[in-house]
Amino acid sequence: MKRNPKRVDLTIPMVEEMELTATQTAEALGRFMGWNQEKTDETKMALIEACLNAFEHSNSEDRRVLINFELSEEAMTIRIGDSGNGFDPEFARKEAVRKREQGESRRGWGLKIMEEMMDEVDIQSDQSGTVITLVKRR
Amino acid sequence: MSDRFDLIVRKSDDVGILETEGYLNNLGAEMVSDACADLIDGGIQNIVVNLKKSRIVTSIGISILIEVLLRIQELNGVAAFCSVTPTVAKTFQIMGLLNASKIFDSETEAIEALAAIT
Repeated sequence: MKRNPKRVDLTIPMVEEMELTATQTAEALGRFMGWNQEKTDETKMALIEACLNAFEHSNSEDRRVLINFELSEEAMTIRIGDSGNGFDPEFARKEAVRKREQGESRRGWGLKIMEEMMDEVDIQSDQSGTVITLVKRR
Repeated sequence: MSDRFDLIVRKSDDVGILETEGYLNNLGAEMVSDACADLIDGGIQNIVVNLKKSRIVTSIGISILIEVLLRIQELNGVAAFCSVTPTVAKTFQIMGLLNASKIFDSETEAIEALAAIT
């Protein structure tokens, strides 16, 4: 029989380096899951990029990010939500590639890094906000 | 290991060594960039960045490091990284930093490699 998933909810303000509050939680949960440091670090890198994406692009009025960590036997699932304007992920991907091809390499790596570091990435976004779901399996 | 960023700048013969500690985001990477500029102004063109104590980097931080690398190469200098965690190395690979530089296991190896090149 499956155990009930364990859940941690966190709300952080969109303030510089506050994303580290989220990574500290991920570090503790990685230890709880019995993960090695590399797996935890990959999750933390993806989580930081998701938080920074919300900080920089959401234009949310409340300037807060809601982060929900859910642990199960199979995986850690992290949902990073904001109540901003939303964005079109496909357009963002294409813009990032276009900018890199034009030599503007400083921006637009967040989605790529999330996808490379995690087992699953899902983005749901509309005019009422964005939720990025990151899944790292055991 | 602290999340707070700190940077130690040292010299070994003609090689400048930048040892980072903590979270390498845009602010930390700008500190690395400024320190590199100071070393270059002081006549040092070969630089090793030791990331042993920085487990977490951001994409903007890496982007700034890539700009630093390109600036050093324009001056016919050489830059290398050492003691990088597997996750940071993976980020370097994703962002193409390994096309412009090499990662060495230790600071000693990096310094020896730079000395052999120059």
